[in-house]
Amino acid sequence: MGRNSDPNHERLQRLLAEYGSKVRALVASHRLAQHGVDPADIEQEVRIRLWRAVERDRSAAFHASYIQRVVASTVIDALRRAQVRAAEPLPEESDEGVSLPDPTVGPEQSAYEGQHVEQLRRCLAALPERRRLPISLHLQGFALQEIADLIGTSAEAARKLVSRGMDELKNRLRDAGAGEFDD
Amino acid sequence: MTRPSLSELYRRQTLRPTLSARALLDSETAVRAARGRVVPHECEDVATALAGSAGHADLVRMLRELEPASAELAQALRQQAPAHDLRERISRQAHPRRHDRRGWQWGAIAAIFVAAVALFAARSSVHGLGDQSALAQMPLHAVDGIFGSQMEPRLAQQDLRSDVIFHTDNTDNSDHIFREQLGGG
Repeated sequence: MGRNSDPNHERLQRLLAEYGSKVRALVASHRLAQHGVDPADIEQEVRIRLWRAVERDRSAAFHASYIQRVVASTVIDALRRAQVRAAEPLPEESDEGVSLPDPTVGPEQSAYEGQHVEQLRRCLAALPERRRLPISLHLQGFALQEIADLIGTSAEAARKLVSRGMDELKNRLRDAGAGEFDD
Repeated sequence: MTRPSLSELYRRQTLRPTLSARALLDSETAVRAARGRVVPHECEDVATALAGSAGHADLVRMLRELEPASAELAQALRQQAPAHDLRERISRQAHPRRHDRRGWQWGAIAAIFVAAVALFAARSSVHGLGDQSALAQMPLHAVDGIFGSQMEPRLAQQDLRSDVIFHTDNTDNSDHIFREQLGGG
Protein backbone atom coordinates (compact mmCIF):
# COMPACT_ATOMS: atom_id res chain seq x y z
CA MET A 1 0.00 0.00 0.00
CA GLY A 2 1.45 3.36 -1.00
CA ARG A 3 2.06 6.04 1.58
CA ASN A 4 -0.20 8.52 -0.17
CA SER A 5 -3.18 6.22 0.28
CA ASP A 6 -2.62 6.11 4.06
CA PRO A 7 -5.59 7.98 5.61
CA ASN A 8 -3.40 9.44 8.38
CA HIS A 9 -0.93 10.69 5.82
CA GLU A 10 -3.72 12.33 3.83
CA ARG A 11 -5.19 13.88 6.95
CA LEU A 12 -1.81 15.30 7.96
CA GLN A 13 -1.35 16.73 4.48
CA ARG A 14 -4.76 18.36 4.67
CA LEU A 15 -4.12 19.80 8.15
CA LEU A 16 -0.79 21.29 7.13
CA ALA A 17 -2.23 22.65 3.89
CA GLU A 18 -5.03 24.42 5.79
CA TYR A 19 -2.62 25.81 8.35
CA GLY A 20 -0.16 26.86 5.65
CA SER A 21 -2.83 28.83 3.83
CA LYS A 22 -3.71 30.67 7.06
CA VAL A 23 -0.06 31.51 7.61
CA ARG A 24 0.21 32.78 4.07
CA ALA A 25 -2.86 35.00 4.42
CA LEU A 26 -1.61 36.47 7.70
CA VAL A 27 1.90 37.10 6.37
CA ALA A 28 0.33 39.02 3.49
CA SER A 29 -2.16 40.95 5.65
CA HIS A 30 0.53 41.99 8.15
CA ARG A 31 2.58 43.67 5.46
CA LEU A 32 5.54 41.36 5.88
CA ALA A 33 5.95 41.44 2.10
CA GLN A 34 7.01 45.06 2.64
CA HIS A 35 10.14 43.66 4.30
CA GLY A 36 11.03 41.40 1.41
CA VAL A 37 9.27 38.32 2.77
CA ASP A 38 7.35 36.23 0.25
CA PRO A 39 4.12 34.82 1.80
CA ALA A 40 4.17 31.80 -0.55
CA ASP A 41 7.74 30.95 0.51
CA ILE A 42 6.79 31.22 4.17
CA GLU A 43 3.78 28.96 3.67
CA GLN A 44 5.90 26.36 1.89
CA GLU A 45 8.72 26.51 4.43
CA VAL A 46 6.38 26.28 7.42
CA ARG A 47 4.66 23.24 5.93
CA ILE A 48 7.98 21.52 5.27
CA ARG A 49 9.33 22.25 8.75
CA LEU A 50 6.16 21.04 10.45
CA TRP A 51 6.01 17.96 8.24
CA ARG A 52 9.58 17.06 9.18
CA ALA A 53 8.85 17.61 12.86
CA VAL A 54 5.83 15.31 12.71
CA GLU A 55 7.75 12.67 10.76
CA ARG A 56 10.65 12.85 13.23
CA ASP A 57 8.44 12.03 16.17
CA ARG A 58 4.85 11.17 15.40
CA SER A 59 3.99 10.28 18.94
CA ALA A 60 5.18 13.66 20.25
CA ALA A 61 2.55 15.92 21.75
CA PHE A 62 2.72 19.09 19.69
CA HIS A 63 1.95 22.30 21.50
CA ALA A 64 0.69 25.51 20.00
CA SER A 65 3.80 27.32 21.25
CA TYR A 66 6.02 24.89 19.34
CA ILE A 67 4.09 25.49 16.11
CA GLN A 68 4.22 29.23 16.73
CA ARG A 69 7.99 29.02 17.15
CA VAL A 70 8.30 27.17 13.85
CA VAL A 71 6.42 29.99 12.11
CA ALA A 72 8.40 32.67 13.97
CA SER A 73 11.77 31.17 13.11
CA THR A 74 10.74 30.77 9.46
CA VAL A 75 9.74 34.43 9.22
CA ILE A 76 12.82 35.65 11.13
CA ASP A 77 15.07 33.66 8.77
CA ALA A 78 13.27 35.19 5.79
CA LEU A 79 13.60 38.69 7.28
CA ARG A 80 17.34 38.17 7.77
CA ARG A 81 17.80 36.94 4.22
CA ALA A 82 15.84 39.93 2.91
CA GLN A 83 17.89 42.31 5.03
CA VAL A 84 21.15 40.78 3.82
CA ARG A 85 19.99 41.21 0.23
CA ALA A 86 18.96 44.81 0.88
CA ALA A 87 22.07 45.61 2.90
CA GLU A 88 24.59 44.50 0.30
CA PRO A 89 24.80 47.78 -1.63
CA LEU A 90 24.65 49.97 1.51
CA PRO A 91 27.99 51.37 2.63
CA GLU A 92 27.64 51.42 6.41
CA GLU A 93 25.26 50.30 9.05
CA SER A 94 24.62 51.94 12.37
CA ASP A 95 22.72 50.75 15.39
CA GLU A 96 20.09 53.41 14.72
CA GLY A 97 19.17 51.74 11.45
CA VAL A 98 19.02 53.19 7.96
CA SER A 99 15.87 53.80 5.89
CA LEU A 100 15.55 51.75 2.74
CA PRO A 101 14.65 53.70 -0.39
CA ASP A 102 11.11 53.00 -1.54
CA PRO A 103 11.04 52.42 -5.31
CA THR A 104 7.40 53.59 -5.59
CA VAL A 105 8.22 57.05 -4.23
CA GLY A 106 9.67 59.78 -6.48
CA PRO A 107 12.87 61.65 -5.59
CA GLU A 108 11.09 64.88 -4.49
CA GLN A 109 8.62 63.09 -2.31
CA SER A 110 11.39 60.90 -1.00
CA ALA A 111 13.40 63.97 0.02
CA TYR A 112 10.27 65.52 1.62
CA GLU A 113 9.55 62.36 3.56
CA GLY A 114 13.17 61.97 4.49
CA GLN A 115 13.00 65.44 6.04
CA HIS A 116 9.89 64.47 8.00
CA VAL A 117 11.46 61.24 9.15
CA GLU A 118 14.44 63.16 10.46
CA GLN A 119 12.21 65.68 12.28
CA LEU A 120 10.19 62.85 13.79
CA ARG A 121 13.34 61.14 14.98
CA ARG A 122 14.59 64.33 16.65
CA CYS A 123 11.24 65.08 18.33
CA LEU A 124 10.89 61.51 19.58
CA ALA A 125 14.38 61.62 21.04
CA ALA A 126 13.45 64.82 22.89
CA LEU A 127 10.47 63.19 24.63
CA PRO A 128 10.80 61.93 28.21
CA GLU A 129 12.02 58.34 28.21
CA ARG A 130 8.93 57.13 30.04
CA ARG A 131 6.70 58.21 27.16
CA ARG A 132 9.03 57.52 24.28
CA LEU A 133 8.74 53.74 24.33
CA PRO A 134 4.91 53.52 24.49
CA ILE A 135 4.66 56.08 21.67
CA SER A 136 7.18 54.21 19.54
CA LEU A 137 5.20 50.99 20.01
CA HIS A 138 1.97 52.82 19.20
CA LEU A 139 3.49 54.24 16.02
CA GLN A 140 4.73 50.74 15.20
CA GLY A 141 1.07 49.64 15.19
CA PHE A 142 0.65 47.90 18.53
CA ALA A 143 -2.70 48.11 20.30
CA LEU A 144 -2.96 49.55 23.81
CA GLN A 145 -3.25 46.14 25.46
CA GLU A 146 -0.23 44.89 23.54
CA ILE A 147 1.74 47.94 24.61
CA ALA A 148 0.66 47.38 28.21
CA ASP A 149 1.83 43.74 28.04
CA LEU A 150 5.13 44.68 26.49
CA ILE A 151 6.07 47.45 28.89
CA GLY A 152 4.56 45.69 31.89
CA THR A 153 1.80 48.09 32.86
CA SER A 154 -1.98 48.29 32.79
CA ALA A 155 -3.94 49.08 29.65
CA GLU A 156 -5.23 52.28 31.25
CA ALA A 157 -1.71 53.43 32.14
CA ALA A 158 -0.57 52.63 28.59
CA ARG A 159 -3.50 54.63 27.17
CA LYS A 160 -2.58 57.70 29.21
CA LEU A 161 1.10 57.45 28.31
CA VAL A 162 0.29 57.13 24.60
CA SER A 163 -2.34 59.87 24.59
CA ARG A 164 -0.21 62.45 26.39
CA GLY A 165 2.90 61.40 24.54
CA MET A 166 1.26 61.80 21.12
CA ASP A 167 0.00 65.27 22.04
CA GLU A 168 3.46 66.25 23.12
CA LEU A 169 5.06 64.79 19.99
CA LYS A 170 2.67 66.67 17.69
CA ASN A 171 3.29 69.92 19.56
CA ARG A 172 7.03 69.48 19.22
CA LEU A 173 6.73 68.76 15.49
CA ARG A 174 4.51 71.81 15.05
CA ASP A 175 6.99 73.96 16.97
CA ALA A 176 9.79 72.59 14.79
CA GLY A 177 7.88 73.79 11.70
CA ALA A 178 7.12 70.28 10.41
CA GLY A 179 3.36 71.04 10.23
CA GLU A 180 0.40 68.91 11.20
CA PHE A 181 0.38 65.13 11.30
CA ASP A 182 -2.12 62.33 11.71
CA ASP A 183 -1.49 59.43 14.01
CA MET B 1 -3.88 67.85 1.04
CA THR B 2 -3.78 64.82 3.34
CA ARG B 3 -1.63 65.13 6.40
CA PRO B 4 1.29 62.73 6.63
CA SER B 5 0.83 59.83 9.01
CA LEU B 6 3.25 59.71 11.89
CA SER B 7 2.86 55.94 11.99
CA GLU B 8 3.83 55.58 8.34
CA LEU B 9 6.82 57.86 8.80
CA TYR B 10 7.94 55.99 11.87
CA ARG B 11 7.61 52.59 10.20
CA ARG B 12 9.57 53.86 7.22
CA GLN B 13 12.26 54.87 9.66
CA THR B 14 12.32 51.40 11.22
CA LEU B 15 12.04 49.28 8.08
CA ARG B 16 15.62 48.37 8.63
CA PRO B 17 15.90 46.94 12.14
CA THR B 18 18.48 48.07 14.60
CA LEU B 19 21.27 45.67 15.50
CA SER B 20 19.81 45.25 18.98
CA ALA B 21 16.43 44.28 17.49
CA ARG B 22 18.04 41.66 15.30
CA ALA B 23 20.07 40.28 18.19
CA LEU B 24 17.24 40.23 20.71
CA LEU B 25 14.29 38.98 18.76
CA ASP B 26 14.63 35.28 18.24
CA SER B 27 11.64 33.01 17.65
CA GLU B 28 11.24 32.21 21.34
CA THR B 29 11.11 35.87 22.34
CA ALA B 30 8.78 36.71 19.47
CA VAL B 31 6.32 34.00 20.56
CA ARG B 32 6.45 35.15 24.18
CA ALA B 33 5.93 38.77 23.11
CA ALA B 34 2.94 37.72 21.00
CA ARG B 35 1.39 36.01 24.01
CA GLY B 36 2.10 39.02 26.21
CA ARG B 37 4.41 36.92 28.40
CA VAL B 38 7.69 38.71 28.19
CA VAL B 39 9.94 38.05 31.18
CA PRO B 40 9.74 41.16 33.39
CA HIS B 41 13.46 41.91 33.35
CA GLU B 42 13.44 41.68 29.53
CA CYS B 43 10.40 43.91 29.03
CA GLU B 44 12.22 47.11 28.25
CA ASP B 45 14.79 45.50 25.95
CA VAL B 46 12.17 43.54 24.01
CA ALA B 47 9.84 46.55 23.75
CA THR B 48 12.71 48.71 22.54
CA ALA B 49 13.71 46.07 20.01
CA LEU B 50 10.15 45.81 18.69
CA ALA B 51 9.83 49.58 18.56
CA GLY B 52 13.00 49.64 16.46
CA SER B 53 12.04 46.97 13.90
CA ALA B 54 8.90 47.17 11.79
CA GLY B 55 9.46 43.65 10.48
CA HIS B 56 9.66 42.07 13.92
CA ALA B 57 6.71 44.14 15.14
CA ASP B 58 4.65 42.85 12.20
CA LEU B 59 5.75 39.31 12.98
CA VAL B 60 4.71 39.57 16.64
CA ARG B 61 1.29 40.91 15.70
CA MET B 62 0.90 38.20 13.10
CA LEU B 63 1.81 35.52 15.65
CA ARG B 64 -0.80 36.88 18.02
CA GLU B 65 -3.45 36.48 15.36
CA LEU B 66 -2.15 33.06 14.35
CA GLU B 67 -2.32 31.65 17.86
CA PRO B 68 -5.84 30.11 17.63
CA ALA B 69 -4.98 28.38 14.35
CA SER B 70 -1.77 27.02 15.89
CA ALA B 71 -3.69 25.73 18.90
CA GLU B 72 -6.16 24.01 16.56
CA LEU B 73 -3.38 22.39 14.58
CA ALA B 74 -1.64 21.23 17.77
CA GLN B 75 -4.89 19.67 18.95
CA ALA B 76 -5.41 17.92 15.62
CA LEU B 77 -1.85 16.56 15.65
CA ARG B 78 -2.29 15.28 19.19
CA GLN B 79 -5.44 13.43 18.11
CA GLN B 80 -3.56 11.94 15.20
CA ALA B 81 -0.66 10.73 17.37
CA PRO B 82 -2.57 7.92 19.22
CA ALA B 83 -3.80 6.52 15.90
CA HIS B 84 -0.20 6.33 14.79
CA ASP B 85 0.84 4.64 18.04
CA LEU B 86 -1.81 1.97 17.50
CA ARG B 87 -0.60 1.38 13.98
CA GLU B 88 2.97 1.05 15.22
CA ARG B 89 1.87 -1.49 17.81
CA ILE B 90 0.04 -3.53 15.16
CA SER B 91 3.09 -3.52 12.91
CA ARG B 92 5.23 -4.66 15.85
CA GLN B 93 2.82 -7.53 16.51
CA ALA B 94 3.19 -8.56 12.89
CA HIS B 95 6.74 -9.68 13.70
CA PRO B 96 6.30 -11.95 16.74
CA ARG B 97 9.11 -14.31 15.66
CA ARG B 98 11.65 -11.79 16.83
CA HIS B 99 10.36 -12.19 20.38
CA ASP B 100 10.19 -16.00 20.05
CA ARG B 101 13.76 -16.12 18.82
CA ARG B 102 14.87 -14.03 21.75
CA GLY B 103 13.06 -16.47 24.11
CA TRP B 104 14.87 -19.41 22.57
CA GLN B 105 18.20 -17.66 22.98
CA TRP B 106 17.60 -17.12 26.68
CA GLY B 107 16.46 -20.74 27.06
CA ALA B 108 19.60 -22.01 25.38
CA ILE B 109 21.81 -19.89 27.65
CA ALA B 110 19.98 -21.17 30.73
CA ALA B 111 20.30 -24.80 29.53
CA ILE B 112 24.05 -24.38 28.98
CA PHE B 113 24.44 -22.94 32.46
CA VAL B 114 22.48 -25.79 34.08
CA ALA B 115 24.54 -28.35 32.12
CA ALA B 116 27.79 -26.71 33.25
CA VAL B 117 26.70 -26.76 36.91
CA ALA B 118 25.61 -30.42 36.63
CA LEU B 119 28.93 -31.40 35.05
CA PHE B 120 30.89 -29.64 37.77
CA ALA B 121 28.84 -31.34 40.50
CA ALA B 122 29.30 -34.75 38.88
CA ARG B 123 33.07 -34.33 38.64
CA SER B 124 33.42 -33.27 42.26
CA SER B 125 31.35 -36.29 43.47
CA VAL B 126 33.56 -38.72 41.46
CA HIS B 127 36.66 -37.30 43.21
CA GLY B 128 35.03 -37.94 46.63
CA LEU B 129 34.35 -41.62 45.85
CA GLY B 130 37.96 -42.10 44.75
CA ASP B 131 39.19 -40.90 48.11
CA GLN B 132 36.92 -43.40 49.86
CA SER B 133 38.31 -46.33 47.81
CA ALA B 134 41.87 -45.24 48.65
CA LEU B 135 40.99 -45.39 52.33
CA ALA B 136 39.67 -48.85 51.88
CA GLN B 137 42.93 -49.91 50.29
CA MET B 138 45.04 -48.70 53.21
CA PRO B 139 46.60 -51.45 55.51
CA LEU B 140 44.27 -52.29 58.35
CA HIS B 141 46.81 -51.99 61.17
CA ALA B 142 47.71 -48.50 60.18
CA VAL B 143 44.12 -47.42 60.13
CA ASP B 144 42.72 -48.81 63.36
CA GLY B 145 44.90 -50.22 66.07
CA ILE B 146 42.02 -51.04 68.40
CA PHE B 147 40.21 -53.52 66.21
CA GLY B 148 43.21 -54.82 64.43
CA SER B 149 43.56 -58.58 64.78
CA GLN B 150 47.24 -58.23 65.70
CA MET B 151 46.30 -56.35 68.79
CA GLU B 152 44.50 -59.30 70.36
CA PRO B 153 47.66 -61.13 71.65
CA ARG B 154 48.89 -57.90 73.16
CA LEU B 155 45.63 -57.47 74.97
CA ALA B 156 45.92 -61.07 76.21
CA GLN B 157 49.42 -60.47 77.53
CA GLN B 158 48.55 -57.27 79.35
CA ASP B 159 49.22 -57.11 83.03
CA LEU B 160 46.44 -58.73 84.95
CA ARG B 161 46.67 -55.96 87.56
CA SER B 162 44.79 -53.69 85.28
CA ASP B 163 41.55 -54.92 86.70
CA VAL B 164 42.16 -55.25 90.39
CA ILE B 165 38.60 -55.59 91.58
CA PHE B 166 37.78 -58.81 89.75
CA HIS B 167 41.23 -60.23 89.75
CA THR B 168 41.21 -63.71 91.31
CA ASP B 169 44.73 -63.58 92.78
CA ASN B 170 44.13 -60.40 94.54
CA THR B 171 41.32 -61.43 96.77
CA ASP B 172 43.34 -60.92 99.92
CA ASN B 173 44.50 -57.45 99.27
CA SER B 174 41.78 -55.94 97.06
CA ASP B 175 38.68 -56.26 99.11
CA HIS B 176 38.85 -56.27 102.85
CA ILE B 177 35.23 -55.53 103.50
CA PHE B 178 34.04 -59.07 102.92
CA ARG B 179 36.98 -60.79 104.61
CA GLU B 180 36.13 -63.54 107.05
CA GLN B 181 38.57 -62.20 109.58
CA LEU B 182 36.84 -58.87 109.74
CA GLY B 183 33.59 -60.65 110.39
CA GLY B 184 35.23 -62.74 113.17
CA GLY B 185 37.39 -60.07 114.71
